[in-house]
Amino acid sequence: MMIHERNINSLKSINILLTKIIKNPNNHINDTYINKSLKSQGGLASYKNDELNIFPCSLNSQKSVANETLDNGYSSLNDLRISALNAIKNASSPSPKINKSTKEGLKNKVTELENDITLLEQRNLLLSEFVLDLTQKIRLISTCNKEGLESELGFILKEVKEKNNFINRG
Amino acid sequence: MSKQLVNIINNNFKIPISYSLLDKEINSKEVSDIPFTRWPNRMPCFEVNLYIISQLREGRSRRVKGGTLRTYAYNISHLIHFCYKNNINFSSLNDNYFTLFINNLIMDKDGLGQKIRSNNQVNTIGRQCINFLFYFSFIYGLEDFIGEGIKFKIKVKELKYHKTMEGRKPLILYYWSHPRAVQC
Repeated sequence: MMIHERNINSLKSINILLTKIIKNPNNHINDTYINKSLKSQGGLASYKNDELNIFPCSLNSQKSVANETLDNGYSSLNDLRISALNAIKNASSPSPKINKSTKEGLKNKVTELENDITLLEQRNLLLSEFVLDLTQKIRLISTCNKEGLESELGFILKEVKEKNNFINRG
Repeated sequence: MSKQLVNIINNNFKIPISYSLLDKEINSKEVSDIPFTRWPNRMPCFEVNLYIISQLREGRSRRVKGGTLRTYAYNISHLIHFCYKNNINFSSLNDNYFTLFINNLIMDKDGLGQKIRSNNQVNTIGRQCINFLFYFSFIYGLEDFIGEGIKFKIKVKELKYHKTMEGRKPLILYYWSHPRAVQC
């Protein structure tokens, strides 16, 4: 019973640790122990950290505890592990060099500019439609009588604000 | 300067579908492979892009590098070229210009003196452009721009044809035609 409870608490702590790693992978880039443990399921099960109350156990025990306690069972824990591993990998890989003096730098520059153009085209499409939407709303307001105008205007302004936020978020 | 007026946006991105008053948030839909049209001077073509989005909302296909939407964009790109070459806006188009546009499409020839496009292709382009011009008049609320009657700048006529399919009743479909242009 004691060991089972300990495993449950340990699993909860592992969950918290993995979400922390996904949010801030930069803090764990140099931690070789956690990097090694994240590479395999068995490695994660045998991970030990006294400060965070994480104790090692066998993979089978971890799977059965995860299936009992987590919503989607062990698969959700495994997904978290893989995302954490990827997050650390992405954070540690150096950003591509962009310059005009080397062939590789120029290639990266072209890729970056192409991505920029695509984003601007997307934004342009959304803004074009937004302009059309606004003109239609102006037409709608022009047909309203004085009583309906105020409430209609309130609704429209809220919608316009939300759409503007939506477009700016991208 | 690149001649290509249409390019396909490959990335997935979200477009707003509706605004929910209850949740106070925008319901959106993820789309990709949308054609994006430009003028020959590389400026985005606002009206055609709006038309493409309106057709997207009507459920036209985007499968295989843009699908139907891409075909529409390419068909209308001929009109964009024509307007740019003649230095006019879409709103300045009238019967004469439209007839000239269609005649140019018919008369276009390659280096060997053969026609570039078939008569059916010209029909398709012309009808697509007429549909676009209807949408254009809707955007700006132009009441006498295009339609059936004397008061319109571009006079078109609604015609019908019977589409027959084996084992089914013939479908009656309507399309807009421009009587002065020979083909369309």
